[in-house]
Amino acid sequence: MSRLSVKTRDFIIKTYGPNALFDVTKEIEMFIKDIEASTGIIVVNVMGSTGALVLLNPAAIEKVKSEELWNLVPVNANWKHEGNAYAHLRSTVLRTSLTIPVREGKLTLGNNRVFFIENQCSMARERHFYLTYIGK
Amino acid sequence: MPSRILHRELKVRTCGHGDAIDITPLIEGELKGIKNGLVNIYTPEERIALITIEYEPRILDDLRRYIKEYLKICENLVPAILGRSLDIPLVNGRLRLGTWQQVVLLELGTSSREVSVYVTIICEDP
Repeated sequence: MSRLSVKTRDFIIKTYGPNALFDVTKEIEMFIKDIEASTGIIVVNVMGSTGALVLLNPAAIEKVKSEELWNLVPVNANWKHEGNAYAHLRSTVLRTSLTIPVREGKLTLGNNRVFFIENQCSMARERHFYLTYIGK
Repeated sequence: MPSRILHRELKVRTCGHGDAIDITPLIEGELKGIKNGLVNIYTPEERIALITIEYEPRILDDLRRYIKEYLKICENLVPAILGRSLDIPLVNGRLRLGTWQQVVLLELGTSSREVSVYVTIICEDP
């Protein structure tokens, strides 16, 4: 059995929000190509406790933005934590990490893309991502 | 760089329903001497969730209220919805989390008890 290797990369994107989705699939694909990955898994993490990482079909984005995120955790529900409790709760429920298999050098995404959800009310916020590849 | 797998088991005591324990320092304490890799944190315990969240009393209260009011129709599924495993990079001996982001064990059962948390590390050979 050939040995596995661990390879990493970090990158930053600038976001705005709330309720904005950012497609980070290209950054992940570029990493896989650069390290000449063939078979393994990639773990995508985003730092922070107010964003979220999701796998979504791009056709669903508009409904997610306009309805579903508001339904998941309402912004105004007399939360104790002032200002952005909803962003923290969305982040915890949706999570900030995704693990995706890589087969023959490609991400196995089906019709989906990897999206970062910016829940914070902000402009030009930097979000830090960390990629870990384990495989051949 | 070739890799190896290490494993640890943590015992964590909870204080009953709703108790939220920041286990970030416990995990990092178990990883001393390991520089870089990927850490999987998992619990097989019933009615325990492992989450990342800002460990702040008001946010934790908001989470408890969210579970009680918004997830009340699916009480048994709460650990499945919130998750019972996490994958977090280890960079220079520290879990690569945000400044206001901690690994928190959430007790969804009723009584105080000791629970197991399994930590699996895939790391580079030294």
